[in-house]
Amino acid sequence: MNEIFFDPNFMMGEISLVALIVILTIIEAFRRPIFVLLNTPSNSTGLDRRNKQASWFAGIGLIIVAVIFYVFGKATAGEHIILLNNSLTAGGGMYIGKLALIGAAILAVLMSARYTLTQSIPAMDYYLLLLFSLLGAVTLIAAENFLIIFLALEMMSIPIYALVGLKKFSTRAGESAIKYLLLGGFSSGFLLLGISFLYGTTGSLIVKDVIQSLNFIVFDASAFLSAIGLIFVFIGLAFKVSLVPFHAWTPDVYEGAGTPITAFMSVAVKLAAFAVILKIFASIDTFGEFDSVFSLIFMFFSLLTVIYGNSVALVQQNVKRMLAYSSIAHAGYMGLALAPMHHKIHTVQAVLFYGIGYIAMNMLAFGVLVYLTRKEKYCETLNDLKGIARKYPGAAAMMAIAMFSLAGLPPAVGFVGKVQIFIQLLEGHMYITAVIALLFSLVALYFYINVIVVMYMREPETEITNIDKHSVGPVWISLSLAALFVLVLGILPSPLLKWALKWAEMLF
Amino acid sequence: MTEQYLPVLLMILIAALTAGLILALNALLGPKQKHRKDFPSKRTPFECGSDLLQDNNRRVSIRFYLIALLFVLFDLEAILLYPWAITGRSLGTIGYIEILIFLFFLMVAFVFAYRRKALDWR
Repeated sequence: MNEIFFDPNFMMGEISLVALIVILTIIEAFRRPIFVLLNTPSNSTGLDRRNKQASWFAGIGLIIVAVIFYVFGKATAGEHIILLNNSLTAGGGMYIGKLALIGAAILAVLMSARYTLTQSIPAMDYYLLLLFSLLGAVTLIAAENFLIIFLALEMMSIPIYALVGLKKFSTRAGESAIKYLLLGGFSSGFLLLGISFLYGTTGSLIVKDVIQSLNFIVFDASAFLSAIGLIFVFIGLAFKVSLVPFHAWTPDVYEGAGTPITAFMSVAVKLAAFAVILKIFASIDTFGEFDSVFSLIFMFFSLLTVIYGNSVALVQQNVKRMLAYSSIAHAGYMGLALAPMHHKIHTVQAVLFYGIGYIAMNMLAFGVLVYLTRKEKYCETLNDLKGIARKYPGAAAMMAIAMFSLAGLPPAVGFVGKVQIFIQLLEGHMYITAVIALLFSLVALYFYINVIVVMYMREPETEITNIDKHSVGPVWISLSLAALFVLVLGILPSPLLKWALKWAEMLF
Repeated sequence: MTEQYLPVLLMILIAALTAGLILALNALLGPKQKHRKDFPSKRTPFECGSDLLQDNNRRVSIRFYLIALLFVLFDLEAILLYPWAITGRSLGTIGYIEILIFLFFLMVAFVFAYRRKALDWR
């Protein structure tokens, strides 16, 4: 691991992403502004045409950015360096995580091409905010410094607060945006307070230095303060990944936000925040006998999350709320892998693999909901899905794949991810935890399979209306890409496992 | 050891004395209020003896908010220019190019805000 102040080869992906944002901003700035008012038909203002163009710009731009990330990431993968005075890591296997995040953004853009048309949302604002959030997420997983972590976390979250409330004149969107903003600000406060405690006791903001100078064997006042600091940092990040005592915003925000936004924030924010949790907590090695305390904390919160998420998801009638509780439960599974405090590199590998696989399967589930949207009516409740398989067999099949994967059934990627997690639990001799988590994934099987049952075996209560014909093509592309990833990664997981291991090596 | 805290004790005593004196003099010399309901201004949240001229719960135009946001941008720009201006000579050409890139990004944001009529006061 070398320290270099700056080398553009390692940062070319991020630079191209910033360039894309600037270019799109300039394009949008020099066009005639369009103000969308309530109940004006979007055709009359030319919004539809503009939205289509914006989707093309954003989609093609993001694909170019992804190619640049891939080419330069591959070229620099042999070397692991730290840039900008210990601010960012670069090189190594990290590019696979960045590619996964950009993949999530591309899928979200493909879905949004339809969503912005059916809901008459000005698309370019929407894509710019999405790209800013992506830039934050990409920076967050590379951050080496607590201040950069905070900055990137805010850069990732603040555009999402705006995106959640972007649908004007919708009380539901406004409510969830305010809720998310307030709780997000609250959690940022926790994170900052924790960082300041850690800075006060260790005198450094660089994650590695802080971790190395922690000493809990002599439990004096400074060890006490740094333990509080670590716990506050954990709380701040647990809000973002929605572990259980800090989960309350999740269902409301997921329900109120536009479906592609929900899809993006449920996967990208979760993966990026988990990468930071792993970076801080997985490399803590100086606990001595207090090692088991942090293990216990992770086990307690994650097990609570698994139990709560899966039990509450059982009674949900709204599919988006059900997926929100299921995403809480999945955060619990990812957190569980942190509990066994040995073989850490493999636990990190398991979590990163799960996070990347979760991107594919969750995007697929939300993508089907985007596909089935009508202008006047969201497709959200189980009632809306009744008997949908007869009229839209393709969409129903995609939803079935997503549900099988989320439930953790082979041959989907969710199965491999869960197996990795449980192997880590068993290797850490946490048999009871593993059994409880396994039992609750059986509970989860009920509500995932219930969606398939409703789609294929129930008669629709009223006749199923036709879906909007706006931009169905991009949604199909995103659905097929996501389904392809779910199945291919489920059948052939070893390349991704290898990449995840290379990424995991960088976190230590 | 404890006597070095004597000034603190004195301070507490003087503060209590002053506050008590002011309250006591007010009660002794001020106008007596036999009937509290004769003084409606006594019951308002911010009491200063006279009735409020107007409610301060008025609605403020959203444009002030936009101006405030843009002010933050200007402010940050100025703040970040100071350290560069001090070290600019030693940073040389690369520092100059970097500050130009920074200013370019800010300009993009301003042009965006201007074209979106954020500064249009009508």
